[in-house]
Amino acid sequence: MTVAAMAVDTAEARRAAIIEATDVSVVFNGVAAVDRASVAIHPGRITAICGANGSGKSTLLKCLSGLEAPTGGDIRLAGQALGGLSRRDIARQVAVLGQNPETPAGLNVEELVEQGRYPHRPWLTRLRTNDRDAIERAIAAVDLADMRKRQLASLSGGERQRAWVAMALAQEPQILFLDEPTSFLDVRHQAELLTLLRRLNREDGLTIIAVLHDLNQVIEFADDVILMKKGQVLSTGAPADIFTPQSLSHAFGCKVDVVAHPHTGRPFCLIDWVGDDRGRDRAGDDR
Amino acid sequence: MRSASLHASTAVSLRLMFGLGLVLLIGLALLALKQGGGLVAWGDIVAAPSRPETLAQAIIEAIRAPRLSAAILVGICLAVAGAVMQTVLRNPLAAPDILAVTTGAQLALVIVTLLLPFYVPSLAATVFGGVFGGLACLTLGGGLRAPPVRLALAGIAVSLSFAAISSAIVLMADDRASGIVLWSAGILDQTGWTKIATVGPAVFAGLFVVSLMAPSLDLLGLGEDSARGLGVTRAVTLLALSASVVLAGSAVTLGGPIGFVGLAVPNLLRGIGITRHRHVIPLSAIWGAVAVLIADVTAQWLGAEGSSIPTGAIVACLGAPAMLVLLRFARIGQEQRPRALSISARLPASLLFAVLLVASAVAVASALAVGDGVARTVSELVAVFDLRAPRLLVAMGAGMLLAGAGVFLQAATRNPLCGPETLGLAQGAALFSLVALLGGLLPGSPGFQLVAAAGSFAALFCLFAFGVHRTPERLVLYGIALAASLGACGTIVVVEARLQTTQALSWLAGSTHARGMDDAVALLPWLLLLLVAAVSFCSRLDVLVLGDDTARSLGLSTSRTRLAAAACAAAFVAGAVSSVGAIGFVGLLAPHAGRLLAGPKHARLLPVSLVLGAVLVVVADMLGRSVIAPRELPAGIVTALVGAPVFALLLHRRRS
Repeated sequence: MTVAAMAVDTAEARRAAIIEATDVSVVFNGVAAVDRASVAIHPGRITAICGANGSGKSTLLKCLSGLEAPTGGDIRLAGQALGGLSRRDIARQVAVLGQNPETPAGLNVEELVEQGRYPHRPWLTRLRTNDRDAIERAIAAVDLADMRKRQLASLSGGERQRAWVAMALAQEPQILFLDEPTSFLDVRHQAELLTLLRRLNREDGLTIIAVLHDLNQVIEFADDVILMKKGQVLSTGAPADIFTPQSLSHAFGCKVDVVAHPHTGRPFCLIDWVGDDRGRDRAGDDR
Repeated sequence: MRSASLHASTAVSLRLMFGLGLVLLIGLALLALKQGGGLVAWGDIVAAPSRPETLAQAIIEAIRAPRLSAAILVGICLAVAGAVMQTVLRNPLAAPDILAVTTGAQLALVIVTLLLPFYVPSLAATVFGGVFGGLACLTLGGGLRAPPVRLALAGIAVSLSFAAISSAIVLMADDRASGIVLWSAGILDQTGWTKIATVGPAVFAGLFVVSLMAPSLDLLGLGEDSARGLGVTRAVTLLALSASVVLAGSAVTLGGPIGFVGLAVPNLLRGIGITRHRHVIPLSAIWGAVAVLIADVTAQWLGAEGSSIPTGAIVACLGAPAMLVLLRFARIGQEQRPRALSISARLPASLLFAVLLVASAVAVASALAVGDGVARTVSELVAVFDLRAPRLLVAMGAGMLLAGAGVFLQAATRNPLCGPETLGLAQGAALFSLVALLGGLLPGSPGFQLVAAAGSFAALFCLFAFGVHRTPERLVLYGIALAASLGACGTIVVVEARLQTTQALSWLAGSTHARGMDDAVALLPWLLLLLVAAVSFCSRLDVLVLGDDTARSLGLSTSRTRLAAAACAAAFVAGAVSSVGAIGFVGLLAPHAGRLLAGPKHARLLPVSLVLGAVLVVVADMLGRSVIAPRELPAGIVTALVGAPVFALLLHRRRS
């Protein structure tokens, strides 16, 4: 490929990226939680951020979603500098679902979802028809119409998480950020949530960026991955390309093997949980 | 390696704390003996252990040595009791005064001294009262396993109401309103050795039991389940609690209700990394004694010209700075945001409306009809109307302002324990009102109101300027300390300036006594501000209570909104307090009651809370005017009397 072709290629990528971060750093007390990270998020795709604890995943997510201002670098949302946008402007395009958010007692599902309309409501007005419609669509999308009057405290963990997703959807964002959305759920509820998110992505074109811990979930769920270690971005790309035994073992500091999934043929991560991965040794013998 | 160095630093701080504590204790003890008048020379102190020969030596034996012993014992008792309670309940907010043990003991003491016609030993009374107060708090708060904040909320509710009952009894039994200042603040003056001789053995028995239990207490610190797994039974818990109640009761017998030592000292020690109870308990004892001695020496020094300043007031004055240092530089364990912000329920709108309408109609009618004698005919009503109508209006306005302040503060801090009185805003405004009164400003005049506003804003500045508001427990710990400090400063101002106590009492306790139409008119600008703020902040408060990150992702600039809401609250408090004084309970509890009736959405919560606040103050004022007519109970005392049981009912119903 010629130099000129490469330049065209990157320019095209830049145009396509809905969020573009260049050399983003977050330093508190002399420690860099994020260290000169450059990533591009493409519209209509699901991007997962992976890495060990303390690798700066959540901090990067907060920077990209505008919740935290980076101490250095530049972030552009649809071409505009994030720092120059008002909080309200950002909130009309970007929704964030935090890790285990706190719920005020007594709030019911509908009332929570209504809060999602806050950035769209002019000051001192009541909910209008289009607000009502957005709330209805959001509740219907997460399938909580029967439980709309239930108090959040009385819901199961999975239902409550869906209620929070509905609040984010009522914001009518183009981009949805989620910080470890599956952490506090059992496997069934994890599956339900990921299925829901994937449907929103595929059917409505919602751009999704999520911090996820389970590597196999990432392979199934995400189109792109950002792999981080100690605040730096190790690699970005499709999971199948960047999830190699070497990169994962390096990123997480434990032995990870990658095999072909027996049903789908996609990569499947085998983690050496208890330090006696005999299967791997045997594989070495075979070689 | 890291753990080794940690270990070493803990050992160093252990030795330092023991050494420094003992040196301070001895130095302060000598100072306490020497101080006051010029009569006592150092030589007399050296000679004191032998039989007194000179007047100076007699003074030491009969007055100063007992007072010194009382101060040391009170300090030991309170700090050790606090340390034990914090461990057993796994609640950093636990302390004799927070769990209503101190106020229960004080109430019992007031009852046996002023009401009962026969003699009851005061130690028996205080221990019984302490148990009663503690049980009331635990029952209300949900038992031994209650979440920290909930238990503290229950304890504060019980404390406030017990203190109000005590004040009411003192006011009824003692014609001099100044009695209330002396009764409610903690005084260490001793008349000879009798009390110390009776209380001493109980203190030593309590300390002995606690020191035997130190290893079990270490296990309890791991959590109830693990402790039980390791063989610690419920009996251990109860024994430890009983011992700590005996200690707290002894302290009240010796010195009256002295707060803070039990909360601050053990938390401070744990904050610098001392966790084993065989260290925490003796160190608490030493530093508790040091804390009370510092306060007592200061009190005697300040009161040298004949006025006697209560030691408890000095302790409380030192409370806020000490707590600030503690929170700023020490680690306090168990910093968890309570998952559920508060309790909440809701009534159907029509029923809610009917309830509020009936309640306000009854309140207004009774406030006009009942007072010193009941007005039964129209002509009687007309005759008293000019006197009662302004007070009714003032009470309504103040109630609304306080309730509004409570809603704004609780939303701004996302903390159910916040109210004008638990964050010190009311006390700040009251203190500045007293100063304005001293300066000759006319109550109700714009100048007076501005000074009061300066007070509540100063308190707000103290609260948020020092960056301790990262977690709810920290904010409330500091807020309660600040409130107590400012309140105690008020007491000291009253004592030192020899203010006419009845008038001053109105600002210390809150009263609508002798308020006229001018005062009602003076409230109007503040109420207008309340209306504007309520309408414009309503939906922002809804978003704010979802938490910082969520609120920001919804497009709200949280720090600016929080500051603006808190400033509004400070202004509301200033308006209310400048006209009726520091009426407690309304701002803390009206929002909770509102949430129980109307749910958490501010569009419903705010108006409902405002109406409830108004009704509460109006009813309290009406009762205060009529119960012991022709004399009056200050409305602030009655709000606590009326509010606490109502709140207790609400808490209780919610739990079952």
